[in-house]
Amino acid sequence: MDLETAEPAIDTSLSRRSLVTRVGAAGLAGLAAAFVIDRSTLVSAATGPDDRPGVPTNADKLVLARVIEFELAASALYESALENADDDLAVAVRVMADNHRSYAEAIAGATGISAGTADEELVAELEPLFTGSSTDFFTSAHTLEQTAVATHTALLADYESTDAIQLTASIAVVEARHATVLADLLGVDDLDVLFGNEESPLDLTGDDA
Amino acid sequence: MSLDLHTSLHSAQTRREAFKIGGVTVGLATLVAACGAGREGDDAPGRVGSAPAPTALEEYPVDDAVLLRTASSLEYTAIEVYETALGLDGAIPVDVVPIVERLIENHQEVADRMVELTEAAGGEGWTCTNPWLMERLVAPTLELIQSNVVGVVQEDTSMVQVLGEVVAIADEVTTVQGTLTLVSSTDGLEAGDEIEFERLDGAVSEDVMAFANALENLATASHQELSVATGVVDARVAHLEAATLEARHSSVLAIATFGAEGYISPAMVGEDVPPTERGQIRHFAIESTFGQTSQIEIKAGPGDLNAVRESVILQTPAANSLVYNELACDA
Repeated sequence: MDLETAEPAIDTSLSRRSLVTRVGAAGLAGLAAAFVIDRSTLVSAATGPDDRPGVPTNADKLVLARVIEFELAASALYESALENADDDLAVAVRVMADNHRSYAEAIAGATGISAGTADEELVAELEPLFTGSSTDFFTSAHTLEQTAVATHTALLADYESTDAIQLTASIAVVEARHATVLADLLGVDDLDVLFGNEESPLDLTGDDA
Repeated sequence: MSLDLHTSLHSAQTRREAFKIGGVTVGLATLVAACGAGREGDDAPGRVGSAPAPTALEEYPVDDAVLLRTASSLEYTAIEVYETALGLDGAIPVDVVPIVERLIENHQEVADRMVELTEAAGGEGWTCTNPWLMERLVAPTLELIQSNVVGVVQEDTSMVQVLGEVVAIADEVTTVQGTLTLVSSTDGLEAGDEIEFERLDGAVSEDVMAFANALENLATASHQELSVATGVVDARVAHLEAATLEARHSSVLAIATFGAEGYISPAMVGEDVPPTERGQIRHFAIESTFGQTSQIEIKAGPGDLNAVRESVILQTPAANSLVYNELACDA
């Protein structure tokens, strides 16, 4: 009796392994797909309406270019204040300078616009105050931060993309914190000042901004 | 013609052909079945065993009204915590009471604005606390904060292990962390009995301030996230206004707690952030370059027998803590 079926036996064995491999791969792929589906649902909920552009639009970029200039000017102003700051104050001033530069760089990263030029007019206007007495510095820095918060908040309504909205929100909340620290350094204990913001937003959308 | 079955079935060539024919038949049958009509069988994945079929969970839509209802629920939760804290003797330092009263006013204003926007978005305004947060976060945390220090009586029943030390039982027990005042009876103590002490002086207040600051940071982070998630422009701006206001709240509380040392987190200049003497996690007015939406950790309640304190984690609203349109305040 001829039971020699070596060749088919080898083939069958390979086929079983192959089948197990394929079933396993299919299962893992299915599992991965399930995670991808879940994750995309979560991401969608966290990033806003599906019909909103993700990356900054051209209209967003026009405004964000001006925001970069503003943030770089703020950073330059804090850098100038470092010359007069004592060691304790220097830590706070350094952090604020670095934060504003980071905002400009983050916006540059999101838009592809170079973060190279500060708003020189703003620097020239405020530098004497930032390098003046402590009171002048704290007052003008507080005003600058409050203005920044007001400006970002006003601009939020105009942005078309999720990136612009997300970045702006994450910047504005920390600038509000800067303002609170500066108010405390100024000796403010009026809760209306500590929790309020009377500053008007800058017009960074107009031609004469 | 006679067929020699015996010879045919024992022929190798015939067996191969039989396999081929069988394979082709199975292949064709599969093809026919795949092309056939009326294949609308059960689409559910196959199940193994005889467990009862799972009940499908309801899927509640998350629309702008849900996001706004969740926002107002956070505001009412903060108000509830502050009002509870004001009712606890000494939990809020006297000089911070006016600040807390103002925080309540501010949270009420934000809540009212969120309710207004909810109604504008076609939803029903939510005017009470967040049930999930109250049950899973606020109530347990406030209970921990108000709980006594527990010690366990040793084999030598004149001694107790408390906050990681074994000390003699007395009306006032001195530990490395401070002096504890006994509040339990010491009559008939046996080894393994638990006795309680009041929390260390100022410990409840420190925890309440840390919890308040963490709640403000949570509210800030939540509004920051909601400003991105919402599709309503007015709501987007209102969320950011709320986020910046509550960031100011958090900063003022940090400064009220730690003074000038509460301005900037040492982590921002590459240094370690040591806890307080009682092991509470410090939170600062400025802790990061960008607004963070990650989880917030504090410690709550006294240390256990080994002086280990329980962590409380606060997270921005997610599926469990959203206030869906199907929920009602009085439910």
